[in-house]
Parts: sequence; structure tokens; C-alpha cells
Amino acid sequence: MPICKDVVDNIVEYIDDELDNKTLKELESHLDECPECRSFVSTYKRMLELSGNLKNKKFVTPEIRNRLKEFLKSKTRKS
Amino acid sequence: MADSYRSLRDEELWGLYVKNYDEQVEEELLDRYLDRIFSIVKRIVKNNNHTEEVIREIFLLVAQQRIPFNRDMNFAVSIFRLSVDSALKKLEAVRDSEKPQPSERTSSKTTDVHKPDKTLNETEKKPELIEQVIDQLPESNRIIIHLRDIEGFSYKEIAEILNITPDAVTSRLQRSRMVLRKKLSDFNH
Repeated sequence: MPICKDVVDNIVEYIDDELDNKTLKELESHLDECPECRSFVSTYKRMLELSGNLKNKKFVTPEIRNRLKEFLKSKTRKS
Repeated sequence: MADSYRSLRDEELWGLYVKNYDEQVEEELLDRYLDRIFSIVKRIVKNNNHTEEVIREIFLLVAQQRIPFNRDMNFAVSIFRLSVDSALKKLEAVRDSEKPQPSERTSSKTTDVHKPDKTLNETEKKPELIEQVIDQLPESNRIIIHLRDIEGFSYKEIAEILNITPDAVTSRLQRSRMVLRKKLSDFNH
């Protein structure tokens, strides 16, 4: 797995557009020449996209919500 | 009715809620946060019943204004900080109570963790696979991936939630994503 260390070390900042210009240019010219690292960046981005899709997943059923509301009612709105 | 509260900032909404526990205000607060908090807590404790117990504690502390909050923090950061702390405590308590007897130790459940790596191609076909793989990671990896890659918090916010420096956030995120990637895919080079 010969992914170049510089690419791995800088991937977080690269994805977030946080690299300084010099490092960015060096990294991009390396990516132009290195198919392994290009593939690494591409699958890394895809992994982040797939993780990001989990944001839309809902776990809370109406029953869970109602149980919480009943609990809060019993604790906060004592008659 | 809850529409009238929709324009309020989280902090304003929370202030209104703790004044008189109005049900409509509570609905809006739950609309904004229940799914998100349930999701991070479940990511850590991995069990619905334990998650519900933790959720009850968290929202009661919110109602009682007993969450860690200061002027520099926003409400989201405060409630997530409380949620991560509470969930980790629960996880620790559950682990302590479930510690195997010495004779049981040889049959520990570590086989899932060492399943062969899934490839990203498989993940493309079954998007739920990524969640299964995230849930197999150690909790420090799961938490930071959840906060950044699922919730989208900034590094500064994650630093506040986890009480670590922004630099530590970057390096922990880097390590965690590489662990996730390793599990998802053989590099095949």
C-alpha cells in the first residue's frame, strides 16, 4: 500500500481546504503523477460522503419520544 | 403552534423552556435535538435501552439548567459535551457490570472487530455497511468521526465538546479516519 506519507499526513487539511498554497501545489502536482494517491484521495472523499449520509438516519420512534416527554412531564410539571 | 418558536436561537429557546416548561417549546427543542442526541449517545453505548436512559438524564439536566454552559459556548456544543460525557460514563458502567468471569474470558466477542476488511465497493452497494464498520471502531474513533463527519461540527466546537485542543482534534480525526478506511478497504496497491 504505497500511499505517500505526505498525502496521508495532509489529507485532513486538504479535504478542508486548509493547506497553505505551497503545500497545496506540491500535493496537487504529486497527485497528478501518482495514481495510487489519486485513488486514495478519491476513495477517502467517498468514505466521507457515505459517513455524512448517516446524518439523515433517524433512530427516534414516536414511542421513544413519547416516553421521554412523559418522563420530563413527571419531573418538571408536578401538579 | 411550534412554528412561532422556529425563528428563535437555540439559547433563546432553551431560556424560554426552563422558565415554565411550555409543551410547545419542548416540542421545538426535541425537534431540534432529540434525534441528534440519540444518535451520538447510541453511537457510543450501542444499545437502545441504555441510550434511552442516558437521554432522559440529559434532557432532565437541560430542563434543570444543569448543563455545562458558558458565554463562549453555544447550546449545541454544551448539550453534545454533556451527551458524550454521559454516554461514556454509561458505557464504562455497563462494561464494569458485564466484565466476564475469568473462565469466560477465552470466549470474548472480539471476532467482529477482526472480520475481513470490507471494500468501499461493497459499501457502495450497501450504504448501511459504513455504519456497521464505524460501530466496530474503538469509541474514541467513533465519537470524533460522528462529531465531524456525521454532525459536521467545526474543529473548534469539537475541541470544546471533547475538552481537547484543536490540534488534537485534527490528529485524532486523521487517525480515526485511517482506521475506518483500513476497515473499509484494502488499498490493493
